[in-house]
Amino acid sequence: MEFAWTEEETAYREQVRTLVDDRYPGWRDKPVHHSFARSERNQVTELTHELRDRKLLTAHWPAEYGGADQSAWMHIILGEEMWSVGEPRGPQYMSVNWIGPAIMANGTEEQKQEHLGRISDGEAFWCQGFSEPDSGSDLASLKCRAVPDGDEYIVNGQKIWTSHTQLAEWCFLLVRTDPDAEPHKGISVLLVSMDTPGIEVRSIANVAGESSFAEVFFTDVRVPAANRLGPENGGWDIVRAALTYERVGAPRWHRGSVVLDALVVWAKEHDRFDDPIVQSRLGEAKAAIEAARMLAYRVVDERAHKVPPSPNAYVARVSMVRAEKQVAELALWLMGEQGIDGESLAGHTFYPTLTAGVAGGTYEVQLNLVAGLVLQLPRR
Amino acid sequence: MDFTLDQDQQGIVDAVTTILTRHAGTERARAVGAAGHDDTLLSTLADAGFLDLAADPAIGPLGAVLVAELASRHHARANVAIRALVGPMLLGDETPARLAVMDASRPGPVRFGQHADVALILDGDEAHLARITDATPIDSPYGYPFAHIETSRTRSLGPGSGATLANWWRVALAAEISGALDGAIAHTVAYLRDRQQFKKPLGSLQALQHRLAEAYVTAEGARWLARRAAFEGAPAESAAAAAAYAAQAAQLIGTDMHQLSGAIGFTIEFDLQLWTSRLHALRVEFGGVTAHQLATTRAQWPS
Repeated sequence: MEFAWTEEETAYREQVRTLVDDRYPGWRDKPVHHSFARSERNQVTELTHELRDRKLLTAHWPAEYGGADQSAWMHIILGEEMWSVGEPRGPQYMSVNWIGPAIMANGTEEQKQEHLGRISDGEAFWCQGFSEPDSGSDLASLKCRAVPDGDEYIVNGQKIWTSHTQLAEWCFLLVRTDPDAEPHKGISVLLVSMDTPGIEVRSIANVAGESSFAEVFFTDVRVPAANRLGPENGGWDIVRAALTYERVGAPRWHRGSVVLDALVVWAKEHDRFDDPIVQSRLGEAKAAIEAARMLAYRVVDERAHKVPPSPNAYVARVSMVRAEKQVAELALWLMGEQGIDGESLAGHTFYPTLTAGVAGGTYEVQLNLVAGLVLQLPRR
Repeated sequence: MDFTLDQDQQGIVDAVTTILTRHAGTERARAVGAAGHDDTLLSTLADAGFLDLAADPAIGPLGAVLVAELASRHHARANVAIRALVGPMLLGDETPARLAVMDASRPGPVRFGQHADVALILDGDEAHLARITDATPIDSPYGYPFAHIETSRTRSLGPGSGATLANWWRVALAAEISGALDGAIAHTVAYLRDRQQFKKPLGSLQALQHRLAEAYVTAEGARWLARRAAFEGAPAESAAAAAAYAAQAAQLIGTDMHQLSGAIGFTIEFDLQLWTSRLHALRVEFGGVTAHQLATTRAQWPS
């Protein structure tokens, strides 16, 4: 047990910082004012190509798939440094974080050839087709149906709350392939090209502002059976592993930390910093952020040690959601009426954070998982 | 970064757990009593070298934090965390066996004051070493012996030693709180797994599961913040954040576990109170949560 960065990790962090300072000198000035998920395609690829050229984008991937055989920490260091300057890489986060690794672990040679190179080149844009109108927290009840037809599946159904559809070229789609099996034993994963005929996307206006999400309708969509990831009806295990990656994929604790730094600057400029109530609440939020950071790091450490995903990911997620909301609440409380301005620091923090306990699995589902898997409490 | 115990650390945990199972635990804690002092336990840990790990370059304060956590988890009736973690960082090999800490600016009673020979006293920028000449114990329901103390022959440990004392004191508090949280939560989880009402275990009710899960997540945060602060050598911001987080956790969990345990939880015979009474003492020590939060902010963002 030790909590120091290795020389390799420190050097990697330095390379990322150098890239930002060389290429995007203005980014450090107003880091939390960037709208993370509304990026244009060329904004994203300009950065991801730069990262690729400096071998920073998928450093934690195996060399055979375009990585540098470095540890899982590199992905988190990259995320921390990039989030702290408000990077626009949102729509490509999932591909590097968990879609690529899921394809590495479960894909055919053809699937790896088709997708992994594009992801590690910073070219690929994905969305995840998970939630449905009647299957939110109870994801395993999903109904979007895929029926085999020759060497294809015919997909019919609906997905909802799908982020990043505006740029997505591919969808990591969960479908029901066996309606008679137990819910989680009849699910498969299909990798679906978003320009396949029969797919319709309708965007949904969103109070949180940060991420634009959509409904996606599938009507007689023909997907080659060769695009199935892993065995038929074996999708649940794949998605469960992927979700534990997703839960600590984006270093949201680091954004919280950056917001706190910015709030201190604001408080000093507005003669509020000497107020002990303000200082007390800043200290409280900072402690919560650091606790979340440690619990998230513990999960990354498991990944770096290549041990199978554990329930510690749910523990980390609970802590992260709590800390992030604490920071957001502090931002609006401290700035008061001045935080009402949508372009203010609080404006860019409070509403986007509302989604933190819902997106990627609700806070309450994480608590259920901690209660059952960690505390071994009896089933309800 | 590595969150798994190395061989030395695992060896410490195993050996200290063995000692504590033999010389501490609920029965021994009840026999010695909250106002008492367990000389046998302290000397057993000292003889085995487990109170001098912090200044040992091969082990360091992270090893001492493990000892402090475990001692608190097992209701040690001795000032183990202060002796193992705070003493060696200021006094090295000269650390006396029975040591207490106090803040000259606070009039409150001193934990283990009547069972210590020497006190480390925080006085602004400096720490002082003082011989305890008299101690007036007070009655307290908070699980530790407390006394007002008189001291003589103080010796300054030099400029800056005050910060060293404050920072390691905070790490020690965080480690002790984390050990007691661990015990209180595990005890409550075990009780609610078994306790039947409405023809099912209370622990199967989601309302209670969520509170236990939240408590667990909080306690884990406290544990790792304390460990990181020790590893880093107790810089002010890490030490204060660990103490702030732990003190807040102690307040929330120290009351919530009673709420979840129902009326039996208020009884002396039910072990829960052995941890919770101490949690409430620890969370107000050295200024409590607000003082730790202010210290966090002032260290993190100096004016």
